Amino acid sequence: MTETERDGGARAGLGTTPPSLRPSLPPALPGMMAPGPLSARSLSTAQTLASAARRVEMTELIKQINEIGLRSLLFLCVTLGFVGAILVYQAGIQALRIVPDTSTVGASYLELLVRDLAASVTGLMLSTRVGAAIAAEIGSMKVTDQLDALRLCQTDPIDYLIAPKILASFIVTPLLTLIAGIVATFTGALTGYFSFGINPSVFLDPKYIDVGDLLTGISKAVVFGLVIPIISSRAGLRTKTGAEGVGDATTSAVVGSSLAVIVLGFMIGVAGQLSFG
Amino acid sequence: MAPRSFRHSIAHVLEGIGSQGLILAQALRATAAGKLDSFEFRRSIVRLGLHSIPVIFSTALFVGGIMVVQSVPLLQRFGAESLLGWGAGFGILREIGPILTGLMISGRVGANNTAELGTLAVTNQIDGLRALAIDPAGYLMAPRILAIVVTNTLGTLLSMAVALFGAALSGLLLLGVSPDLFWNSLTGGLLDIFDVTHGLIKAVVFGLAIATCSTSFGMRAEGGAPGVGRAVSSSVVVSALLIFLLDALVSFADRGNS
Repeated sequence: MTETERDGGARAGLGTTPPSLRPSLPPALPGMMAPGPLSARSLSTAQTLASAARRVEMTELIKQINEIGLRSLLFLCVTLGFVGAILVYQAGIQALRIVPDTSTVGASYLELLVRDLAASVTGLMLSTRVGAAIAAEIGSMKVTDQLDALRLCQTDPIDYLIAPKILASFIVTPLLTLIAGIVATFTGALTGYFSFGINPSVFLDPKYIDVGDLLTGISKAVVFGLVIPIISSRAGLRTKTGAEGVGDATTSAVVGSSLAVIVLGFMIGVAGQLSFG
Repeated sequence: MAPRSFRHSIAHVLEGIGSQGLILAQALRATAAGKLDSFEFRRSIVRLGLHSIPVIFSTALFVGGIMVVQSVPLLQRFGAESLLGWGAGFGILREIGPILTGLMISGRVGANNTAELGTLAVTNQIDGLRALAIDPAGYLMAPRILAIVVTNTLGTLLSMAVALFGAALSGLLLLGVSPDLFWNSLTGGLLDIFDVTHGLIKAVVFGLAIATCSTSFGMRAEGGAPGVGRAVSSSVVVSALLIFLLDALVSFADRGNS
C-alpha cells in the first residue's frame, strides 16, 4: 500500500463517523473475554461481520475484487481444467472395467461437478492462493507495526483492511466457482471425446442435476467465500513478531482454511443429502 | 507484485524451473557425496513429518466421507450399493489420496519449509553458513527435500488407509452398507496392487515437486518479513499448480497397468 492510499483511507475513515460511533470493539461480554483461540475467532468474526455490514470503502473493495477475483482466475482455470480432464479419464477407465458403456459418464460427471467438485476444488485452491496472500499481507503489516499506525490514524484495521477482503471474497467466490466449473465441464467433455469417443452431445447431458444439487453447490461456494478470508485474516492478525512469524501465519492460514473447506464441505454435503436425498 | 510484461513473466517462470532443477541437482550431489546432515534430517522428519500426522488424518477422514456422500445418488440410481468399496477405493487410491495429501503437505510442510529457509535467507544466515564453510546443499536443502519426499509418501499411504476407513464408516451410517460388503467390493478383483502403486508414484512425484518448489522459493526470498510472506504464498500457489499438472501427466503416462 502506498503512502497516499493510506492517508486517503485514514481521512475517509475520519470523515464518515465520529470516533465514539466507530464499531471498534463490541461491549465486553463475559463470554467473549475468555482467552483462547475459539473466543478470539468468534470475536473477530462478529466484529468483522458487523463492520462489514455497516460500511466498506468502495475503492478498497474494487481493489480487493481485482486482487482476489481476477488474479486467481487463471490459476483456477488451469487447476480445474486439469481436474476435469483427469477425473473423466479415470472414471471412464473404471466404467469400462465394469460395463462397456460410457453413455452415463458425462451426466454423472456433471452432477458431481455441480454438487461438490466445482465448489470444493475452487475452495481448496482459493484457500491456497487467497488465504496465503491475505495472511502474508496482514501479517507483514502487523510485523512492521503498520496496523498500529492505522489505529493511530483513527482507522480501524478491521474496517479498512479486512472487511473489504471478506466482502470481495463473498461476492467473487461464487462467480469464480461458476467459471471454474464451466472450464472443468469443457475439458471433461474434450477428454471424453478424445479418450473414449463420447459424443459431446451425449456427454453434456444435465439430466441428473436437480434443485438439491444446485442448492448444495451454491451454498458451498457461498460458505467457502466467507470462511476463507475470515480464517486467513485472523491468522494474519495473530502474527508473532519477526520474519518467521509471517511465514508461520501464512502456513496456518492455508492449513486452517483448507481444513475448513473440507470439513464444511462434508457437513453441507451431508445436510444436502439428508434434506434432498 | 506489480503487473509485469509478458516477456518478463515468461522469464520469471523459466527462472523458477531452473532454480528448482539446480536445487534438486545440488541436493542429489550432496547426498551422493555423503554430505547429507543426518541430525538435520532426523530433526526435519520429526518437525515436518510427525507433526503433520493430525492434519493428514483429519483431512483424509472427512474426504473419505465426502466421497461416499457424493456417490450416494450414483449408487442408488444403479442399485449398486455393493460397489461402494470399489468406487471409493479407486478414487482414493488413484487420485484423492495423493492429491489431497499433496495439497495439505504443501500447505503445512512446504509453507513451513519456505518460511524457515526464507527467514534464514533474508537475515543473511545462509551466507553465514557459507562463510563457516558449511555447504547449504548438504546442511539445509538435502535433509529437507528427503524429509518432505518421505513424509509425502508415507503420509499418502496413511491417508489412503484413513480415507478408506472414513468411506466405510459413512457408507455404514448413510447407506447402511455393511463393512463386510465394503471390504469385499474393495478387494473383490476390480482393484489390484497397480492402483496402489499408481497412487504411490504420484506421491513420490508430488513430494519432489513440493520439496524443490518450497526450497527454491525459500532460498530466493528477499526483502525482510514481507518478503518471507510473499515467498510463502507464491510457494504454496506454485506447489498446488505443479501437483495438478504432474497429476495429469502421471495419470496419462501410467496407463499401462490400468
